[in-house]
Amino acid sequence: MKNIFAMEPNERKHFLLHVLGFLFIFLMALVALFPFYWMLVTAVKPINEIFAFPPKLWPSQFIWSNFATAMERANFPVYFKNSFIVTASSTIITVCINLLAGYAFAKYDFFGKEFFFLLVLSTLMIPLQVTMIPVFIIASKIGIRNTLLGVIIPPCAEAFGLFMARQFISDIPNELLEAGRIDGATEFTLFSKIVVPNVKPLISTLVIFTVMWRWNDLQWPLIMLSNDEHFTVQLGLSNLNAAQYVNWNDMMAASLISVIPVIVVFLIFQRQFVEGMASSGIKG
Amino acid sequence: MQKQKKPFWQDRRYVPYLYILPNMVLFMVFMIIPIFMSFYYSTVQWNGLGKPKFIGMQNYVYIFKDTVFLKSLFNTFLFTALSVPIIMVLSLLFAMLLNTKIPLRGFIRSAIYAPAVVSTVVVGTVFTWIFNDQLGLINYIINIFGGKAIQWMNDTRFAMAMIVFTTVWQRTGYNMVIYLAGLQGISRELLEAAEIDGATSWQAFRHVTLPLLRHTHVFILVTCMIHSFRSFDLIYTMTRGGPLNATKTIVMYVYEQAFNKNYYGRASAAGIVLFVIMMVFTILRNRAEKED
Repeated sequence: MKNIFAMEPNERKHFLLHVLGFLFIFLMALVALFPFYWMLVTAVKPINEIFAFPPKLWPSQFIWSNFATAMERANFPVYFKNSFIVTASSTIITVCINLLAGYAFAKYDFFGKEFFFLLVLSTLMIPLQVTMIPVFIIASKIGIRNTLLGVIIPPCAEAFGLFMARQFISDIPNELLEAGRIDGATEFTLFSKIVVPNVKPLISTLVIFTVMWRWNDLQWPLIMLSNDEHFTVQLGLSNLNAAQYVNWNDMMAASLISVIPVIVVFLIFQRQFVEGMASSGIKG
Repeated sequence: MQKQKKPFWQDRRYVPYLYILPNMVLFMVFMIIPIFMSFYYSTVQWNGLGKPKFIGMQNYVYIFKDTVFLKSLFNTFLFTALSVPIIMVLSLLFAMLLNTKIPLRGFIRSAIYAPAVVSTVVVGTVFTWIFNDQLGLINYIINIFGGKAIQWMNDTRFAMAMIVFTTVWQRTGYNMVIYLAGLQGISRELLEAAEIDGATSWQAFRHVTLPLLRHTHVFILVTCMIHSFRSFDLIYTMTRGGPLNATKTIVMYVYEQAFNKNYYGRASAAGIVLFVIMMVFTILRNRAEKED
């Protein structure tokens, strides 16, 4: 490191600004991370230290078994199981229907193509609050209200995935498909053996988006579900948070555990996801 | 020799319809039809039981006279006007700082992005705890500096500030990453040229960097506004719109009217108002995109 006193005044000012900038952004990084630390510390504190004021920044002991205790209370295992079912099924459905439809829109000519695509695209900006009452009523009529199916199916009608899929599959060279046809492949073989293996970044992107959205969603499960046995993690957490007496040990432990699946999915699919974002040119 | 006829699921003329079928059925049932139903419901009086009664525009007349709806409308704009500028300024500032050669760059970037991965409900629960009036950290910090503890959850003056703070914490990292991508698209030569011409770093920022990020500004502004007009989970988890409607937004109003009070007509009318506001944003964005 250069000697700060041997610098020109201008250079010194520049250097000091640089240091200040670093200190500031480093402080902000700590602010961003602090609530995570606070979740962890609150989760493993002895219960009497939760009620200590001033708050104890470092617990006298770490009771890791609090995580297990939290899971035993308030039906959390059921909530987690429901969230897994909802997220996994939604993700599979989303990937399948959007790959198929995206392929059709990208590589086939058929009557009504433009119309159907515009119809879907025009719904991109519709807020849930506009459709949620009719969808709630339709779900009641067809008997999927207050079931996990009711949580899974309706939000699958979403334009973003189809839009991405069409964009992505358009980039597959037509020659590849024609060559397959000449070799006598059936239409479905073309899809399963040529299209699907060539769009792995697309699949990763769809998986990450769907998992993050569905696992984290509160509003739709809240509308669809009324029985505790069907609740998802977010719905369970949100309800407990509003209760008269909140056990912060349990809340923070369950919150922390609930974050893990999303992070795991993110880490697994991240590399291809970044590729997907870069090549599709879509930000965010 | 007569060409063998393929079954329809292998016929190129019919295959695309088969492929779009599942998606289109879902869209019809859970999106297109509901949109039209929503317009219809906004003109009826209905509690979910019995027959809806057509009342024309009366739901709209009602909500625009309803002080709670007007308050929700005001709160939605207030929430947006407070949180979006703070998020934009901070995310740009962070992105600028991270775009220089500083130590621990990767760590700091990931740390600031981390809140974006967590569910809004979890964010809401943690901040409910941090803002707890008796045991919370924020009040402890206020205490250290000699201030009086604030009843964040029960004080109409401060509840919105709490929601805004939490939103800023959650959303800044995500937008910072988008700004970083924008900054990386600016060529170094332009900034060096400005420096050679004697521009101070502030002038270079003001007259070179800022205008060149135009697209990013618009993109972030619009996505942030849409996000804040739609956001439900955080307010539901932390305050349920309280205290005394101080944090009630249109989205909360629609939810309450529909699912707590069973006024499906009024709720639909409020939903349509939200829809119109969103359409205005979309038109503004499209116009901004066309100008470039």
